[in-house]
Amino acid sequence: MAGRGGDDEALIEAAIRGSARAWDRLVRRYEQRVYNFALRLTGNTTDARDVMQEVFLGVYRSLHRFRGDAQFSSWLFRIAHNKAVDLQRRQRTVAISDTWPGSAGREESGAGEYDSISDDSRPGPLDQALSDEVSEQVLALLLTLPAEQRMVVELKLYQSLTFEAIAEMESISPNTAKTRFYTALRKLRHTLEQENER
Amino acid sequence: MSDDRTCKQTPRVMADHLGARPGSSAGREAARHIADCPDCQAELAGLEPVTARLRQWREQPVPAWNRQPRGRAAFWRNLWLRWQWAPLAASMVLVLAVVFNLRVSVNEAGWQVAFGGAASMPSAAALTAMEERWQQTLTRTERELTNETVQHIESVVQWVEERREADLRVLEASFEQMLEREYQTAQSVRQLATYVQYQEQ
Repeated sequence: MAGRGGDDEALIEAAIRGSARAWDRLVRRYEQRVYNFALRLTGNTTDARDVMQEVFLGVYRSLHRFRGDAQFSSWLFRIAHNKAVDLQRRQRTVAISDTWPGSAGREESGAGEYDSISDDSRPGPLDQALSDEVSEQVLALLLTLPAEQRMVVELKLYQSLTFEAIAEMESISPNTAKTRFYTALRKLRHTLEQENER
Repeated sequence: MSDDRTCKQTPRVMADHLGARPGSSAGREAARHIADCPDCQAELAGLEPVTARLRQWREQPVPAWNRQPRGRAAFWRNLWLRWQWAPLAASMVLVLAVVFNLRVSVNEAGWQVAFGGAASMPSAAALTAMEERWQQTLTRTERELTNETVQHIESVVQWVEERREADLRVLEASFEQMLEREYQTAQSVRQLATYVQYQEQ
């Protein structure tokens, strides 16, 4: 992404002045990263596309407030992060209301309390096949994680943020971010070991 | 997920090592620790395949979507972009109006616009009529003002006269009272002298 900062600023300036073409170029430059970010967090292509659209609509609305102090990509992914967290909260609310006493969901689940809460924040099955099988397996693996751990893995492994930056974004301490990352990897190792035993 | 390791630094070291950016100091420090710590070496051996698996993700193509924003946000934004020149244009018009001394007047003939001077010259008849109206107004004002002033001065003089007479009456009464008191005092002194004289005899 190096060297794109100046290009981004020119495109942003033009987009603010109303250039549809500049806006289109700016979106095309980042849409794949945002879409894949959202796909890994939401777990399905429909939600990922919705998040991506919300992200770019949010960016479009507040483009005039972008001051250029930070990189455009950082600013963009902060918005994307907030949208993804909003979506996860909505999913969790729906999941909890679905499993409220009187509904069937929770009684059927034999898992412990931690797993039950984690399951509530997990998205549903993949609604549309990905372009390759390996990525589908990776996505299935990621979706076994609770939302908070999945977010830290996403920001660390795929977005290459420092633990300090992750901590700031998630409003946690850097040590908590490291612990979440480590716990997530151990959980994934356990899942892989179980798969290999089958 | 049994946890039989004894190194207390394993979580931090694993996070720093597996999530390290190339060449970072935290990564180098973690690598040094792992080289001397069998617990962390064992843990790393178990976790490295996990991160390797996660890194196998291939970027997915973006499905077709409409990149140009629509709806209310886009409408208002575009409206602003289309009309943001309007305040500047209005300012320019006002500046020109001031510089060229623009005058706008309305009379029986309708709206009239002029630059740098009077908007229009009134006719002689209109001037005469206006002069007569002014004269009538002036005469009426003078008359009303004179009548009112005379009445006002007369009432003031009358009030002053009344006050003066009242004051004179009060003064006269006070003087008479004072004379009466003086007479009584003189009578008392005379009686006292007579009494003293009688006593001496």
